[in-house]
Formats: sequence, structure tokens, C-alpha cells
Amino acid sequence: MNYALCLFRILSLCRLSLRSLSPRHIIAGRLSIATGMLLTSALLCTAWSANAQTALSKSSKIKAAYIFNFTKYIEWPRAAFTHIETPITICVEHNPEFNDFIKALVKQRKVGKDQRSLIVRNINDANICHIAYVKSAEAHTETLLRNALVLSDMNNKHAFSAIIFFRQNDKLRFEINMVEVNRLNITISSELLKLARVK
Amino acid sequence: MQVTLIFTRVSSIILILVLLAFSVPLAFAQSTPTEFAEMSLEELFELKIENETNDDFLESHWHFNYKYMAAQFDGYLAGDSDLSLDQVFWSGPSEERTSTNFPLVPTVIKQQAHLFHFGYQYSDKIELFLSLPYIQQRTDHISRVANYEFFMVETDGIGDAVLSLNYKFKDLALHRWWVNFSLSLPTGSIDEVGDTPRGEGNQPLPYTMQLGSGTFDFPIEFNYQYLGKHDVGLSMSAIIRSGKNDRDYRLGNTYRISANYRFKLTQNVRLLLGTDAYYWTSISGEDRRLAVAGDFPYAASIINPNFYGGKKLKLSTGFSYRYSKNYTFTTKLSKPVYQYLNGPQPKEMWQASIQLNSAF
Repeated sequence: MNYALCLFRILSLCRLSLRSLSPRHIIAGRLSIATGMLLTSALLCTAWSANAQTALSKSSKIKAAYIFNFTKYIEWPRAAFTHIETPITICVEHNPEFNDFIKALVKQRKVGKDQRSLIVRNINDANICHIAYVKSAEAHTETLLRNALVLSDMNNKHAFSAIIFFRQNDKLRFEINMVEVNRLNITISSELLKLARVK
Repeated sequence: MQVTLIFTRVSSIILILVLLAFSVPLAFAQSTPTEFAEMSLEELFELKIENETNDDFLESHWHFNYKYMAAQFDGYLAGDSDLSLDQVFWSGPSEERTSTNFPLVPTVIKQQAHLFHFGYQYSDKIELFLSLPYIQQRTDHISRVANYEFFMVETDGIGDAVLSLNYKFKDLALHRWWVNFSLSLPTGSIDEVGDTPRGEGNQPLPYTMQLGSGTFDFPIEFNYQYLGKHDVGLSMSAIIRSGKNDRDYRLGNTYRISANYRFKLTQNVRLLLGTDAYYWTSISGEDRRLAVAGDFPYAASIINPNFYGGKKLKLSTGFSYRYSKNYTFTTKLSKPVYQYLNGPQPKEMWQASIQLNSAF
């Protein structure tokens, strides 16, 4: 939709420019300019559209993808779900760009042997979180995070942080705190553990 | 006209090429949610984020804190009884001279300290610190000596530097225990002098006006913190002095038990409430330059090494403001609610501090 709007607006500007040309210009010249502007508009909109997607940092996108991937390699105890079809709830803080991205990323995807769907909730509106990605160490109630697999960044470690993202050799890595994982009675597959820095 | 047409065509081609050069990489790098969703863990593991200035992952190894502290002492206590200046001041031969009245009486003592605190996070459990204080002190006096009826003495300079090691020996989700071992170095002067009624020129100043202890001291602190919704901290600390300094005295040991509570007012502002109980002992030995010959060798209470030490219970309040994850501003005001002092001894009225913590 944004792409179409962008194209329409740029082409409107082009039309105004073409009108301003002298009628004595030959048709070929006008066609040439029109073709050039059409291509330019298309490319400008492509770049603009791509740029809007990249407003979210690459590391945030990687984190969103990691969070989705973690759900494939983690098993929660049965008691964590009220029903076989209860989705895995991913809680995130208020950050519209990140929230939109991760919502789009997990949309209509199912994970685990129970093929559970995934939903993303704002942590302030959630009653339950299976995974919570928190950036502010003091932002949330103790009870909500106590039962969630808490993910955080190295600079914003939370008391309940079980998975901590850190940067190493310009790559995004993660650390797993087994004390928290065991406390939550969560099972993490060896495939995930072998990539992690386990503490 | 022909030139205009050629110019227009060339410009269009150049513009298209430039846009192609810039837009193609944007369009073809992983960027959409679907593209990221389809990447495996191993692929994510190898993705580079080299051009990001995002500091979510940088661990702050260095800390710098600045603290400004001010305290005022005014009035006198002997035990827990208030003494008026008239009771402490010996006004002349018409009044009986005793060991608890003096011809020279400090009235108001004002202390200020600028504390510079450098920290290095060596590991998750160990943190190293260097603290360096700059101290400014001023005492107003009254005396019965002519031309010194009202006089003031000031000292300022570097105090005792402290090297510390913080060891976090238990760090659970909601509970944290750590211990702090320090070594206080005798970098503060114990040779401060000033113009007093004792004689011509500058004279050695009493213990309260010196900037350091003159001895190697060993502060130790044991802390517990509960990190839940209601943040509560408890600590026990002591400053153990060793040996005697070049002036043949040793300041008293100090013991403290503290409790504090932090209540979250907003996302970044916390109200601080605390209480501290102190017990400190009197001075061992004495600086013999301060005493005078006769039945009453101490011209002022602060010259008598026995009139140091006591017990104190203080309440404190303040707030902390977290400007960003790397900067926190804290301000605190404390006031004694109970003091039992070996004395006559100047009593503390209040203490205030402003602190800026930064991590980088």
C-alpha cells in the first residue's frame, strides 16, 4: 500500500514536470523522460520501502528470529499450558517496530511436537508469558517474569534472565543460565545448548 | 533544444544507475520477517552485525561515580544528654573548671567531601575500585582568649585513598550476597595546622580537622539485597584500624548495620528509605602536641581522645533517577534520631549527598 502511494505521488510530480516542457519538444524526448522517471520512481520506492523495513536494526531482527527459533528447541512443562492448543505467548515491551516485525515473523507458524502457534503480546497487557524479552530491568512485575523464560541483553540483565544476548566478533551470540532454566523446569535441546555459552 | 534533450537523457541514465547501485543491496539483504523466520539457528549464528552502534550487548566494565557529601555538627551531647554551649564553655576564673568545660569551644563544624570512585568489573563476581576523596572542613569556635573570641579554622586536601574488591558470592534471581574488602591507605594528611589561640603562628589542629587517619585501615562490608518488586538491602560493615600513626594515635574502629528500601515511583525514579546504626570507639593514644601542661590538659573537647566514639541511629531518605542505563543520579539526606556520644562531643545535625553513577 505504501509502495503504491509512493509511486503515485512521485508520478504526479513527474506529470507536472512534463507539463512544464515546451510543446515544441519532440514526442520521443517526452517518452524518454517519462520512461526514465517511471523507472526512477520505481527504484526510489523500492529503496524507500526497503529502507522502512531496515529502520529496525539488524540485531533486533536477528533477536526476533532467535526468539522464534528458541521456541522450536525448548519444551515447557505441560503445566505451562492450560490446553493442548494453547499458544506459546511471547511477551515484548512497547516498541512498535520490533513488535510488528516479530508478529509478522511468527504469524501462522507452529512449533514443537504439539505444533503450537505463537502469539506476541505487549508485556504490560499480558497475563502470562512463556517467553519474555525485556530491555528494562525494572519494568515488570516479579510475578509475571518469575514464570517466564526471560530473555535480555547483556547490558540489561534481569534478575530472572535465562537467555542473555551478547555480541562477540560482530555476531549476535547468546548465553543460557541453567539455574533459571532448571528453576522453570524447561527442557532445552542439545542443538540449542551447543551454540550457547552455558552458565 | 537538441542539447537539452541529450542532457535530459544522460541525466536520467545516470540517476537510474546511481539508484540501482544504492537500492539493490537494500532490496536483496535479509530484511523481511519471512526471510528471517526461515533462517536456521546456525545461519543466525553467523550473521554479522558489524556496522551497528547498538550498545545492548556491550558490557560496561568501567564505572565512574562522583559523590558530593556535606555534613554539619552543631551543639553538644554527653551520653544522650544535650549540653548548651554555656555548659561546655568555661567562661573564666569565676566558673569552676572541670574536665567537661573548656576555654575553647568549636560551635559549628562543617564538612564537605568530593568522592571520586573508579571501578572495574573484572568478572561477573569480582569488581575492583579505587576511591579518592577531596575533603574540605571548617570549624567555627568561641574562646575566652583575647582576639580569638570568635575564630574559624579551615583545612582541605586529599583524604585517604581506598582500594576495594567486591566479591559477589551468591547471585540468584532475587537474592544477591556480596562482600567488600578494602584497604584504606594513609594518603590524607595528619599534619594540618591553623591559627589557634594556643600560640603565635600556626598550631597543630585537633583530630577532627585532619584529613586522614594516618594508619592503614581495613574497611569490610557484607551485603544482602533482595531484588524483587520491593527492593530491600541489608549490610553490616566495619572499619578496622591498624597500628598507630606518626602522631602516635589511632582513630577508633567503626561498626555499622544498615537497612534500606527502594520503592519504585516511576519507571526511572525510586524513593529511598534507610536506617543506619553506628557504633564507633574512641581514639587510642594521642597527639601529644595538642595537650597543654596542667590539671586540665585539653583546651577543647575535640582535643581529648576519650571524647570520641559513641552510638548513633540515623534515618535517611532520598531518591534515585535513572537517566539512562549508564547514568544514575542519587540524592540522599540523613538525620540522626538518636545519639549517645562519649563527651561532651559535637553532635551531628544532618548529612546530605548527591551522587552521579556512570558506566562506560
